[in-house]
Amino acid sequence: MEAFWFIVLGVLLTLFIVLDGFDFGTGIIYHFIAKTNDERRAVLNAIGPIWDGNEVWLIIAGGALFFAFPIAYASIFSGYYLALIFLLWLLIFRGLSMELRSQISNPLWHTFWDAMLTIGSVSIALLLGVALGNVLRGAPLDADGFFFLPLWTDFRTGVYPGILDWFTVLIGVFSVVLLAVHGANFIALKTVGVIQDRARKIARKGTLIVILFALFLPVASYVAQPMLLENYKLYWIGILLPILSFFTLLGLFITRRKDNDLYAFLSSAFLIVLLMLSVAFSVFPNMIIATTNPSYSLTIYNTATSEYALRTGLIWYSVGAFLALCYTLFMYRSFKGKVSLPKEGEGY
Amino acid sequence: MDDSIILLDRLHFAFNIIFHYLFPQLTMGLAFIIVVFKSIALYTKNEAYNRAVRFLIKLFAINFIFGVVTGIPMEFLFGTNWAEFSRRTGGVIGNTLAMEGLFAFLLESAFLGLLLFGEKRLTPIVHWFSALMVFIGTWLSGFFILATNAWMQHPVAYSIDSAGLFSVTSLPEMLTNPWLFWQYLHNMNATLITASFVVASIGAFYLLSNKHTESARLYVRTAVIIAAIATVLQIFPFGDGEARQVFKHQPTKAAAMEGIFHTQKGVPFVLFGQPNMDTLKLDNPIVIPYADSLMVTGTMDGEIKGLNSFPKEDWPDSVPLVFYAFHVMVILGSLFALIMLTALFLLWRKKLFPSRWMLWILMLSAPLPYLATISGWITTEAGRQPWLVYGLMRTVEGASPHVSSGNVLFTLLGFTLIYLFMGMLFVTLVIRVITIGPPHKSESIEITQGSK
Ligand code: HDD
Ligand code: HEM
Ligand code: HEM
Repeated sequence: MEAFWFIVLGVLLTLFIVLDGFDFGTGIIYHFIAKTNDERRAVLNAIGPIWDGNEVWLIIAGGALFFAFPIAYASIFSGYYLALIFLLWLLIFRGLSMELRSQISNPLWHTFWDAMLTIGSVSIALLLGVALGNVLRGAPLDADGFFFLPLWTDFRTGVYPGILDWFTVLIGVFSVVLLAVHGANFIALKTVGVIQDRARKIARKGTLIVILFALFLPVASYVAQPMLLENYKLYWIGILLPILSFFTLLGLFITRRKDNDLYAFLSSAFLIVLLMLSVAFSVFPNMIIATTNPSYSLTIYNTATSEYALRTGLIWYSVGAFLALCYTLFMYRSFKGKVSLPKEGEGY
Repeated sequence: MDDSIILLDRLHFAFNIIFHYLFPQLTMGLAFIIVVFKSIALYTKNEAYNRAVRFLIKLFAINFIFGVVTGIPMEFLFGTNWAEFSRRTGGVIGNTLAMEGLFAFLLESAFLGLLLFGEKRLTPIVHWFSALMVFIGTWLSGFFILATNAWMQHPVAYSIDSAGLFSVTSLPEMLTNPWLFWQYLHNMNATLITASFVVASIGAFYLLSNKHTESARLYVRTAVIIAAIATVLQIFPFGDGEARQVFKHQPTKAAAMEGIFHTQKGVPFVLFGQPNMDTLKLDNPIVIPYADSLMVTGTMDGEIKGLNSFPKEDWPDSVPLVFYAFHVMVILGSLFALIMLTALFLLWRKKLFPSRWMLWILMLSAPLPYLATISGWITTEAGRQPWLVYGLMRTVEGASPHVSSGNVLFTLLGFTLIYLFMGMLFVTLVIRVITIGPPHKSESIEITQGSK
């Protein structure tokens, strides 16, 4: 049962990163692909109606963590206190910039919110990568199951690292690049003309950088937390993950070359899914790996809630997930197709 | 752990939740009013209602965004600042919080897009349906979050293991917590009051400045009718029901609310006064004799427990705060009923629109329901002290053990700064939307649809 909820949590987080990921990616490349006000409005129109729905997956993932693994929720959220609060602040500004830009038609107003969008998106992508890095590396858990990490110490991994160290920053940068590619793929899919051309160009270049990263990230992860290899030794099937990732990356490269926007977008989405899967596979069954003493590690077994809750949760979660699927599809269907530029006019 | 951190954590939470709740209370009430307008438009085919509601939807959208961006922090603050509380009670309240996301927020966000951008793409029925779904979504959010709060007020359906961890034993029982019944009705009805006061206020403003009179009349008329019903129901039976259950289950909160220091018979109802914590008496009381006993016990000389019947460490740590908050709510609540019944009477005699003095009152009273709502929550939450989960877990036990007060102060200051900025933004945007106003007859749908 615990393993099942671990998977649910993984799926929710992955959904969030894949879906909101292209919103962040769009924000990252925003200034490069859209130069005039009309172009910017077109780009924002592509993500405007859906970003809120995409962000809800984060809330739902947070809810699932709270519900299924309350002890891990408490430990993680208080331990990464500062990083989380920063994330919240950034999300506030990202959300506002998306919605408020169109409210007043004044160039200064537009410039301000455009800047907020880019700063917000880049920093959030970075932070999400850093978070992933932290999951891989582990945290200095105390015997009481809590810890507190400062933002940084000396940027080295070890028993008492900071939230930012060389490894987590590396993953953070990788996440910015990957999401930028993902966002560019999405925009290429949703637009036509000059914006599409620029997005394709960025996606092509970005893909090369992603490949570069892919070469040495596995090694870096091993250096930062040798434990990560254990599961691969235990379950050889895990080997499939890197192999699949390799082929997906190849697919991304080829489809990008051919400017097959749909397949390129699907490739980057699938690549993210595979990377999340690898992370989940490597850390399982840990929620937080203790850098202090392996026996302090928080696992899905010592942080889960009661069997009753997990079992009833299964029922209402299935109902909820089904409903969610219905209206998400309904929403995407209603906004499908390329975005067109409506006449100038403010508000909704 | 030092005491200052608990105070800071409480202040932190109070500040964030009060700011967040400024927005949902309008969202939920306004969603209802939008459905009313859309239904009338659909049923009577009267385009005037459709024009009028487009403006309300615009207002709704701005308000909603602020609700969303301030709401996301709320869910995380349980973990960041109240980690020990989350660790121990997550097995219970994690359920309702997770359900809120899955059942309510997704529904809201999916259909909000359709409501805002879809009027041209969708048929009138589907557009009406989107409005209905948004309404259901927001009221479901309210339900799940209040179920969370109700459990902290009146824990049911739980078990505690040897390590002090709570887990839920029956989800249906938790969702039908008897406490939730009055709380939900009273709180959701309060959102109707907020929204109808706001809509009436905007309508009155347009009438007084002789602009957009067609829509303005619809606003004032609809809002006054809704408000007149809601304000009366708010006092009886909803307010009465809330008060009774507080007296029954949380006697210390009840005593603090009413300023009853000593257990006695024939307790008067205090209209106002100042609790004096040194002499444990109420200074300068203005009272209605026997009224409290009559309301709570049903007889003139019924006995009510005062604070002195309980150990001092179980008293709310700020009795005067609870007392004032409760009285502000009750006084405002009575005032609201008075205002709206008068307005309804004038409306019935067809004298409301020419009565400029009444329009002035309607225009100026929009902020008051916000005040009443905040006061109500302070009564509820400060009155629950010193308990975090009533009778089971004290507030001092709940904070995050490894987060230092310096860090809490840092993030509190950060939130304060950001929310100040956002508050100004919000006011600017709302004023702007109100200045533009609802579309006129001649304006086609294209223009109001506009762009993002
Ligand atoms: C427009 C807002 C408004 C108005 C006019 C009133 N209330 Fe209220 N009240 C609320 C808005 C509110 C609230 C914000 O919605 C609260 C806070 C928690 C809750 O569920 O509802 C609340 C809580 C609340 C509580 C505390 C319940 C608890 O501790 O859980 C009591 C006893 C009352 N109310 C009683 C009254 C009475 C007797 C009123 C008569 C005039 C009244 N309220 C008017
Ligand atoms: C501490 C408690 C609370 C938490 C954790 C919380 C959480 C949230 C979150 C995460 C959102 C954003 C949802 C989205 O993205 O669509 C939100 C919005 C909302 N919340 Fe809260 N909230 C709290 C208090 C309340 C209360 C007390 C109510 C009402 C009774 C309420 C009603 C709503 C509603 C209706 C929305 C929809 C957006 C809006 O109305 O502006 N919330 N809340
Ligand atoms: C319905 C969901 C809500 C939940 C689950 C909730 C939960 C909490 C928690 C965990 C605390 C901190 C611990 C404590 O001081 O006891 C708190 C305090 C507080 N909350 Fe709520 N709250 C909710 C709604 C609200 C709303 C809507 C308001 C006001 C508009 C509010 C006002 C306050 C205040 C003023 C405090 C500080 C009380 C004090 O420390 O004296 N709460 N609440």
